[in-house]
Amino acid sequence: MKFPYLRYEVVRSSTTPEGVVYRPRIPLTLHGPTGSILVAGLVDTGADHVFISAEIADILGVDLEEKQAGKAEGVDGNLLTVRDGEIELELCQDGVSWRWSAKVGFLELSDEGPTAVYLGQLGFLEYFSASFDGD
Amino acid sequence: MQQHPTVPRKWAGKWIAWDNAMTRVVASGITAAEAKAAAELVGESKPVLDKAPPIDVHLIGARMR
Repeated sequence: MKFPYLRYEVVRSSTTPEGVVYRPRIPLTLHGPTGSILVAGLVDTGADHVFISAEIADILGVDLEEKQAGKAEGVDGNLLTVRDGEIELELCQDGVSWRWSAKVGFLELSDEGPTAVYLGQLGFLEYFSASFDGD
Repeated sequence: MQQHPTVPRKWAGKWIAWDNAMTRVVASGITAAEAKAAAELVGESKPVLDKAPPIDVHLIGARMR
């Protein structure tokens, strides 16, 4: 499977003189107990797990009320509250599909960052050989 | 490999809904549910939802404790 980078307009600066950044976001379907959603997830080799916005948990029908809270830490040192959940992820392209179960961390709404789905090592990258070509 | 169009700054910080082939953005919203509903209203039954970061944000990774 090959996916193009997604491009986003950003403020022009010395590091982004063209005003555009390329991000490895890929389309995949998240399946929960009562709902499914197709999202663009960021392939994040710096993340230990798959992290998903709690907002999406609502759409999937994942009840986070009874889930034990854990912590995640960004590279800036900020601690984020996450609650574990188990869902299924599905990658499809050109009629080929892979679907698997994964334990993921749902980020509390107050801790949400600028991205809703981070595809980290456990639950995603552990199942694939991935290469990146930013040209 | 087909390239997707650049997400313009007008959608920065919002949830956006691409059409299923990701050839264009068909709707946006403050929440994921709002963007999904807006996409369905314009006839896109299987939108790809995406949260466009603010234009002054650069992304970094995370790790679990």
